[in-house]
Amino acid sequence: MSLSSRIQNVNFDVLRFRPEQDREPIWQRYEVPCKPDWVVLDALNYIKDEIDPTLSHRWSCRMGVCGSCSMMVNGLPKLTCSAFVRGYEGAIRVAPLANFPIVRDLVVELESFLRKLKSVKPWIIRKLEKDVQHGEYLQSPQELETYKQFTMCINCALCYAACPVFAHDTDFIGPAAIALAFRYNQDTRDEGEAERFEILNRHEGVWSCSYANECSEVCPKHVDPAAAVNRSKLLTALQWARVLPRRGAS
Amino acid sequence: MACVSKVYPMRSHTVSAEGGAAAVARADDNLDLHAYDTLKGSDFLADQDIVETFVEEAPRELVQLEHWGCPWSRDPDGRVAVRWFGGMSVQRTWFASDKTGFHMLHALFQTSLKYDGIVRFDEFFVTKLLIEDGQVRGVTALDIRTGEIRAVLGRAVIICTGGAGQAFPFTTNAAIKSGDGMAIAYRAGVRLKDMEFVQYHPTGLPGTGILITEASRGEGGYLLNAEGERFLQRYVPNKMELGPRDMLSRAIIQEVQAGRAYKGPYGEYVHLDLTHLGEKVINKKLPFVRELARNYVGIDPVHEPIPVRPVVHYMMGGIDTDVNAATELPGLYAAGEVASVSINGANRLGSNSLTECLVFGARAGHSAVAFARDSDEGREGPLLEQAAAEASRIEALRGKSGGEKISQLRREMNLAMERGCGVFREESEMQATVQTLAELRGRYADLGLTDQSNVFNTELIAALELGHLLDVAEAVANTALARKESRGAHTRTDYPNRIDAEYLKHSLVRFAPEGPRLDYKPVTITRWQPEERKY
Amino acid sequence: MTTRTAPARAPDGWWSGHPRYRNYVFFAASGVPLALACVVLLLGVRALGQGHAAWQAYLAQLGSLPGQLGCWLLLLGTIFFSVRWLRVGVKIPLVRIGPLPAPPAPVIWVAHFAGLLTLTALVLLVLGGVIL
Repeated sequence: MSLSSRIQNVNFDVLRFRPEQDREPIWQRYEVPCKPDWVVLDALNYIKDEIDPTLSHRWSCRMGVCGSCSMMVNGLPKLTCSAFVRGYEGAIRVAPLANFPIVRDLVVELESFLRKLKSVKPWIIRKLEKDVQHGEYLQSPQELETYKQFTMCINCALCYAACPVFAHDTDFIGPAAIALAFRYNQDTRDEGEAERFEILNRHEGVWSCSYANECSEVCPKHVDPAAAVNRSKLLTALQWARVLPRRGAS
Repeated sequence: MACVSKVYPMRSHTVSAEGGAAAVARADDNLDLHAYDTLKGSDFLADQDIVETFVEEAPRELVQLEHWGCPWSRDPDGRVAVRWFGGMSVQRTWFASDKTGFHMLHALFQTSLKYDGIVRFDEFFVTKLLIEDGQVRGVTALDIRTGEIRAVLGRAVIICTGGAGQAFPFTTNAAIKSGDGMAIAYRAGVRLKDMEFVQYHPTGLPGTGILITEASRGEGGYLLNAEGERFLQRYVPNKMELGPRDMLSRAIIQEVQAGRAYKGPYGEYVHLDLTHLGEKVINKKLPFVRELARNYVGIDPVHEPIPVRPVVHYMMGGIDTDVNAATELPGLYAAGEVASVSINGANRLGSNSLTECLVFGARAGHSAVAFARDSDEGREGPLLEQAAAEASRIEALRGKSGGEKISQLRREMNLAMERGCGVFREESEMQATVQTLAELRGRYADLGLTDQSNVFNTELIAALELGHLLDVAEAVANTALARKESRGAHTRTDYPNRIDAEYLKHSLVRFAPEGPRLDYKPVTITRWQPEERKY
Repeated sequence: MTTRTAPARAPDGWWSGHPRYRNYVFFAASGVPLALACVVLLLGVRALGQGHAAWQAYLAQLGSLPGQLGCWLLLLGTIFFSVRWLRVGVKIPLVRIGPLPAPPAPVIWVAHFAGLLTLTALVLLVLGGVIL
């Protein structure tokens, strides 16, 4: 390991918002002594522990798997637990996740996001369920590969902050929700494509996507939601035209 | 049914579990073998009747999760694949690449969205159990968003809040693992069991403590000291890297003490070498490990070994429950890491914990429903009065003036726990820790908080969590001091041997204002007599 | 229960700040030259239908200085759009449709480029007077 323990003072401009006292968000600067291997989250925790305990932010696992610490760092959506301070020059601007209403400081309102995830019926839908006694549904490694990438979504909502369509139209169900629908549609154990068709085949569903591909650019788990959304367009169109059957339709 | 959580469900720390979930699945395996492996791993402190139930129900629960969409990794014939894991005699660990906990949690959470009967209270921080007439009738919870204290009333309560790794400075555990459930039960007078047994996972990244899954050893990784030696041949010659976690952690610390470890800015470490596995295997079976190593230590495990050291990972101890996940308090149930059933005894085998969550989570659910059906709601008046009193207590904490800082007390607690309740423990260090913790509790009363606000006040949450951690730390340190033997993860340099004659029993600890009250209860032995534990 | 929230904010320096956001705006804007290019081609088809004289007039207009300038602009815009679109477009057919497995990625890539180049060549050859 080639990490020295040289500490460097870095300025963090953090967007604050305390609804009980601030009319609108304001920037506040903090100077933080950063170790060379620190991530932005370490700096925020230092601010909270040692400088300003009134700073509120969400975090948990520190290893990029829980999705709690999504914020804007220098204008780009990032997981702050994976944004290394050494990767930035000069003052670092930390703001709450874009395109979501701000609850407090770096904490945003995510209820709408969760509602969208639920709206695509992200569960195995089957006409006939096998009894647990009879063991697992068989699924080949190849079948698993077709949808596995789309199971990796940690629900961090960075893709919603990056999506220019969602920025202007918050009714768009968004990349993560569509990727989740696609994940279940492609799962060979699922028979719910017909039920999800109604949700996807709307303006707020797949048809709002304008090929920006920003969602896939920012996705920290390489889910490639743009692929899921646009493949869903193809499948949805084929289903609409009855060229493809809608799996699960009675 | 109300699901009350201080974080959104998909942030729960189960999400970080990587390696897998064990259950008997193959023809070369049988329930007795899984039970025996678990018992031996527990250094014979686990309750054998409960372990027998556990291994029997395990396969069904894992299949249930598969039916609910969990993307288990597969064999070419389409069946769920299994792999080797520490302390297991055969391959029986089901896995979903190297993010098993993540996939299990998401499958469970997404399936739960189907049921409108499950009402979620997301970002509600539970602070106290509401008890009336000797029965649990609900909880008080702080709505983190608004700052209001709400009473969530119910005929039964199931606690599944996990462990308390944050009591220690280096841990694989997330920030949220602050022992809330254990502390709340403890304060309500409920017994905690086997608290002295804290598992150090042998392979965590130095500094951050980020977990490098046991599966990396299951797939064939080697542990090497600074002399390039696979040193485990001197400690667990038969199992080598697949020995149980407590033995491997001790081995690494002993190598450090013998001067055969590397030195780094975050202390000494050894090497986890995956280079001989090849890029294909690593990308297929351990892609998350590769990502973590690259991101957090700048090392590509395909080409270089990963620096690792033991870090706190899991608490074998917890709220004392029986095979039905019931505690001694009517209406209160517990499952998962927060509970001590006990199937893990003095040391847990890797991949038994995820399965434990499923088996005892299900049992807790069934038990709670049966209890609720036969129970009534109690009288709302006294319950709401209790809630109001609790609200006043919390309000008094918000923005209170005082001389002590949360971060300072937390740091001192962490240091004390590292010294007294480390991999190797010793009488005077433990006593010093017990002393320090008692002092810290006194200083906690003089906490000074700055944030007066109601909306999303995370300083208040941090203060509450610190209080919970101090409670759990006290339970751990006191029971550790009292157990004058070495067993499983509790190793004492002054009592290096296992003394079944005196200590083949569970420790129990109850909260008391003057200091924790200790007691013991016997271990249930059915078919396996304790033997010498060698790998 | 909810509390007062501040309105959602667009990312800092949206439109102008980040190279990727700028790129996206150009991408969206390049739909215009693409549409105009289609109009120009349609006018050419109409001219073909109206007879030899009309076709020659059309080619002359394209050949004039302003015409050539316009064509270059439309061409650059169209290329920009196509390359950007291709990045997403090639991902789309890589999907399991019903019982058919996903086609292999190299096949899709080659098909996309082959299609693009063939159509471009066709248009150029027609406009250059080599064919028709």
